[in-house]
Amino acid sequence: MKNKIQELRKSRKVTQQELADALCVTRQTIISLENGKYNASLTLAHKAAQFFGITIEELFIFEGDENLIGE
Amino acid sequence: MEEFRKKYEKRFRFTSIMCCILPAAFFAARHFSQNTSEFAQGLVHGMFVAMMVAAIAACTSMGVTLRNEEYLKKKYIEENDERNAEIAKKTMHTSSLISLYLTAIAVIVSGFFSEIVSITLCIDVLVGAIITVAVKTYYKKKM
Repeated sequence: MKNKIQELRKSRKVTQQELADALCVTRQTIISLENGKYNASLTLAHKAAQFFGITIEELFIFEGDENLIGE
Repeated sequence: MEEFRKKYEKRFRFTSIMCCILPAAFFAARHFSQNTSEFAQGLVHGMFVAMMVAAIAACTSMGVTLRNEEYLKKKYIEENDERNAEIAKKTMHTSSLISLYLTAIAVIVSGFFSEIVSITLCIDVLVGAIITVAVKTYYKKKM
């Protein structure tokens, strides 16, 4: 699952540490999220979306097999 | 955060009690292991000293953390970070599986050399498997 965390964070001039502190996670988690190595839980996704003031769908991009529900 | 502080204070109290109980338990164990082999005595000494050192170190670290708001927040994030929790969960799962399979192989290999060792290892595998099934059943009902 891709996300726009890095893009939004840079555009708002927020550091990884500041974002990590706001979301109550470690900086390593932010790095892994930005690199796409780790998929956030629903709670963390909700917190991140709330932090940037957008919806979860706008922040996280579902693609490939993840869009196959109902097919 | 306040909830975490209370939880951490409880943990600190428990560790402090352990720091007081362990020396008494050590002397009691020393008294009762007087007539045992040197190996058993050494084992008792080593285990208790290691536990006491660990308890004192944990107690000191917790005391420092509780007095400093910055450290407490850092600890809260460290313990509640979902990636760390996921890593711990996966590590436990993978390592227990590997350990179970390796012990199963050891049961077969040791069967050629020692019957007692093979049976002991076999019991270990069975107990491990039973615990795994029991815990899985518990979580299936809980979730």
